Amino acid sequence: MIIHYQCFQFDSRSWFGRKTSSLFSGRLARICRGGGGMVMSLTTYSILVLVLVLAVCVELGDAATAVDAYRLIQYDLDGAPYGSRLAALNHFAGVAPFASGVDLSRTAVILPLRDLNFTLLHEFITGKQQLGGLLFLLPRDTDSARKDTGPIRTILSKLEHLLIHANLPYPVYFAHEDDKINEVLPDVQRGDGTGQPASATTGGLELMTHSFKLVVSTSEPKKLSSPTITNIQGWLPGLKGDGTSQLPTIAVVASYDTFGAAPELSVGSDSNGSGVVVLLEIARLFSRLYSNPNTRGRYNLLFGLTSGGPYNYDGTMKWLRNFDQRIRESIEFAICLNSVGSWDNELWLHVSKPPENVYIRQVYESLADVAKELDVTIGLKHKKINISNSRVAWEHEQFSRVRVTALTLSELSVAPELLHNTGGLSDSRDSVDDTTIQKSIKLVAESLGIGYAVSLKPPISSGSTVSDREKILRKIVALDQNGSDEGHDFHVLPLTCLCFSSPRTARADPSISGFDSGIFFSITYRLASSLLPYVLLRKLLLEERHIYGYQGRNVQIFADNSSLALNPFYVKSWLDLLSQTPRVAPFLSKNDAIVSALKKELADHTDEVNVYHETIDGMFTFYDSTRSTLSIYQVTSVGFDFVMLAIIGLYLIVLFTVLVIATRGFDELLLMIRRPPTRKSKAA
Amino acid sequence: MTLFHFLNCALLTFGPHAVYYTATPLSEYDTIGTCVKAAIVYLGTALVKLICLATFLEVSDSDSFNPYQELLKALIGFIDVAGLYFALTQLTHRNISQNHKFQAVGLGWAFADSVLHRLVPLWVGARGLEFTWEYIFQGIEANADLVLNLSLAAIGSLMWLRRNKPKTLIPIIYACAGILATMPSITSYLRRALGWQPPKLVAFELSSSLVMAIISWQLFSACHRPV
Repeated sequence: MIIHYQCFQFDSRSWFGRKTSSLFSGRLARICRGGGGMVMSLTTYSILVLVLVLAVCVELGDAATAVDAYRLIQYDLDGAPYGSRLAALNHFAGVAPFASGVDLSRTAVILPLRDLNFTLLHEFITGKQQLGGLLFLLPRDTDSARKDTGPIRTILSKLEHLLIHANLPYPVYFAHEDDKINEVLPDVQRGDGTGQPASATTGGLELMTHSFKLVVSTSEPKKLSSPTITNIQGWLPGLKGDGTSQLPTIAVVASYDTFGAAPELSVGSDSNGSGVVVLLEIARLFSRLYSNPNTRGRYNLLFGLTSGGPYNYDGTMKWLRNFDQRIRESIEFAICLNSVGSWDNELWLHVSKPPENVYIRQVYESLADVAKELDVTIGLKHKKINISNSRVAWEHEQFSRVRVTALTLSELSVAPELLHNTGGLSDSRDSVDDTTIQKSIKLVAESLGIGYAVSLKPPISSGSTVSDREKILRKIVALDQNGSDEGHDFHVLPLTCLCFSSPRTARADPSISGFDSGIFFSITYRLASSLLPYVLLRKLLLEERHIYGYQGRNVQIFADNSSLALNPFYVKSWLDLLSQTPRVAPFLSKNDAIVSALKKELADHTDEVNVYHETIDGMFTFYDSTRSTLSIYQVTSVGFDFVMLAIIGLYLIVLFTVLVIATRGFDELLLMIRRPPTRKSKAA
Repeated sequence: MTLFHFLNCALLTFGPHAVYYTATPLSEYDTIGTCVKAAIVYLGTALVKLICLATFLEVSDSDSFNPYQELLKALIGFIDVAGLYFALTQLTHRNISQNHKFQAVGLGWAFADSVLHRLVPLWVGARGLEFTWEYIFQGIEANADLVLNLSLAAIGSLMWLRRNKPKTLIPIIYACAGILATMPSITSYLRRALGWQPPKLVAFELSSSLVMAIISWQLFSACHRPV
């Protein structure tokens, strides 16, 4: 290196001033010049090679358009592959309509969703046509008019059904419509539709057309090893009496995860965001009731937010299997909530035990009672479990398999198929209605409230006659009641004894104004309790209601304008949050934000919160790479580059000729042209 | 192929300089030393200009035309002229005729200008997948710049190296020099204030440089005519 530097110095000096070179010995200068030249040529050669290597690594550079693209889900079900099997995309863009028989294996087809051609799509998928890629353009949320969402939603659900059960060996992406993409589409259509640049042999005009390349540069999708599903449970203990016997438990369960064609877009507002919101609001209301020992019921309440819903309620099963035996046996019944956000006036109660079962009948009747007051109907559907069939369509079936009475409240009248109605693309914020959810909350809360209130009732032996009962009740009521509640003001309570307006009168006084809510609570506070079965109590109460002429009154614990009213803003804010959070379980980490948020929310409302992590069972395997950036480049054909080279070459040659003629004269030019032949002749 | 496009644009941008060197008698008289020296002087001038620009100019976010700023830029552009003066007069050249001297200096100056201003954007931008006409226009601009610099060098050599000039032509010479020196300001005014699109701008540059070249050629030959 040093020698080279010195020689270079020598060289440059001799370059700039030949006169000075005589100062150095001629031989040294010559050697250095020669040696330096050799070293210099080596370094220039290596620099050239380096430059070429660098140049060949083509940088993609800035694209005209870059948008977020969400990949179709890729999963294996029992080893069979489904979904989009590739992630990287680097092909020319093409737009329908195509000429028949054209080869699309190097084209990424763009399909806007507004006017989706399902027959074409069917052809692609069922005909197993090899495409370079597929890009669906989802309409923008902001500019879709209200009336537009219905048809779009049907298109989306049809599309989802088609894509989830197809095996597509090319990348499939969803992207939101963008101004820039919309500019690109007509340009692409102007060509022959395949978007491929014309080869050099086809006419000259086509050489100047631009084609567009869709590029998604991402690595190959990898299997997700043991994806975790997280179950969150909240436990609200009831007021234990002097007896040490286990209190019965009522469970309210909802699965919070979703599954859809595009995992990053599956927000599942209705399935099952509505269920989660109903559960949270009920938890909030009952936690208010339970916070005061005066009003704490004698039932434990168990709230369960389960995951793994779309996968045959795998998470629910694992959660139940983890349960302590005693707790599991103490569950009287469990209400599972599944899609309660977009019904009109009919809800369904799905059961697996025969409807003659006592508990089921009672729950159904209390629900029906409340429903009547809200002007809605509840239908009962019985579907037997088939143990040999691994398909679990409703969450209550998992409970039934471990011998816990359970039922599912849902707006769906038929059991959904595997991976259907799991909150996919079509299930967005505007598919749920706030007021409908509030109705659902009221329904479930009030019917649970009946049980709650019943549980507070003092024990009465079942063998006594009506008059005996009446005497006992009056005695109870005659006890002094000076305890006041802590500001819970109930308008009316659904139990006859509560309708006594004053301790002195035994007659039911239907007027609300004289009612003193303090009576009720102080009764329960003073009286010991061991619990009569809910069943009998309720029977008793209905009779008494009848006896005391208490019929047809509007009964509400959680009435509007009371401190226990349901909070529409709470409902709205949780619904908004859930509608912005994609919740496909394999892609939620253990400490994902939404899991922590739900845990914290349950912790606010319940006494004890537990989080359980499980893995999805082996039937499903998922692959990562759900979201990337799609770049759209405007590219020209190779022919165009050749034409440019020809033009520039011609220009330089013309320039050369002109300059030679102008400065040296025409003869010089002729000499230059003729020199090679003369050299050859000289050599010969 | 994107590397192909880069090669095309590089050829368009730097090819004419090489062609000019080989086609004219410059190559015969081995004036490459003068060219290199002129390039180095250009480098120095560019650094000085940068420092002045950084000191005196305000950075504005919008691309609008601010007359005060443009005036300052024009004034700083005159440093260019000073640099050219230095290259023409102060450097010791080998014994080459004035005719060739101004050509060599102009060529070296224009080549350095092209390389410094256009090589890096070309390298970074033209190799990408995305195709734009931008780099082709840049190449045509480089050609126009070459012609402009040659005419400026010619006028400069007339002003500073030629002793006896016809009196009538002197004001024209200085006027031409002024126009040539302020040509960058004029183009930026057209682009920003009038909002001309690149094709129109490039066409204007080409035509104006050709016109100025013809004028300066006429002046040069007029001054060198045997009296």
